[in-house]
Amino acid sequence: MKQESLTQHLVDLYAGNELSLELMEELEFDALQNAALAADMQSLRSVVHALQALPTPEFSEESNQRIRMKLFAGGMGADPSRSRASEPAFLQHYLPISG
Amino acid sequence: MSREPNDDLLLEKRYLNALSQGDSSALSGLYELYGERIFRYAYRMLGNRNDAEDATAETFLRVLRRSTELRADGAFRTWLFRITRNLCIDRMRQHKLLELPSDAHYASPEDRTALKVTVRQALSDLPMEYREPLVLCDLEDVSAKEAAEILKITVPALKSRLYRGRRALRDKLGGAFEKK
Repeated sequence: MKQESLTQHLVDLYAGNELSLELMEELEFDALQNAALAADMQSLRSVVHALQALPTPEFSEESNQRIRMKLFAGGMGADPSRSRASEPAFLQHYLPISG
Repeated sequence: MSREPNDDLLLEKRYLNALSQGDSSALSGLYELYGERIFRYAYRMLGNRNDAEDATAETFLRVLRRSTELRADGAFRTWLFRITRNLCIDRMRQHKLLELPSDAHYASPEDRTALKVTVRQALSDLPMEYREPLVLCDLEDVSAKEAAEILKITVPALKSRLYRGRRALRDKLGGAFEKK
């Protein structure tokens, strides 16, 4: 029973890539003669890989803006380094003066 | 251009100092540094965009409310994740979402393969004590030490939950990962 739980712990470490190379090779060698151990190792590692392959939630510009609006409403001051500089004079548009 | 972790720490220190001296605009810098990660974490915990946006905003507003107590001692990010976690748990309790599956809006078309949907579903069906370490360590790439601090448990307890969570997830996925 003790041996069994030790092996299970090693498989857990193997799945998370937390074993030293030497121990990993030793475990993989043991798995060559033990089909149950090999299945445990492979299936658990596949679970970790499948988890890591899940898509990352998209942080859209719309979400970013909505969060910023809430922060401003909650008292966050405007960051001067992020505020839009006023446009240079030659880009400013003037309405024609009607007579 | 990507920033180095040390640059982030320097910026964090500068913003925290400014915030503690009453400069509320420094919160924008902290949001710039950590907003996306906090949003992603909240989204993975809550499973929908609106709730994740609310939790993210509320996390940073709590930083603002406690701005005079902030110290740039390197533990700020952990504290930030911890606030988000508490907010997510509160929200899940309010909405009784604890066992509800996440919405499907964050999957891009090529990600809508049966396996990924199944894995995500199985993950959201796991008890919180298993789901949280998996989200932090396997999805958000947070170190075991930091994840343990966020969850207020010891590193061995975190690892035990992580390993059990992976096995529980495999059990939920049934034969999907059986050796051929």
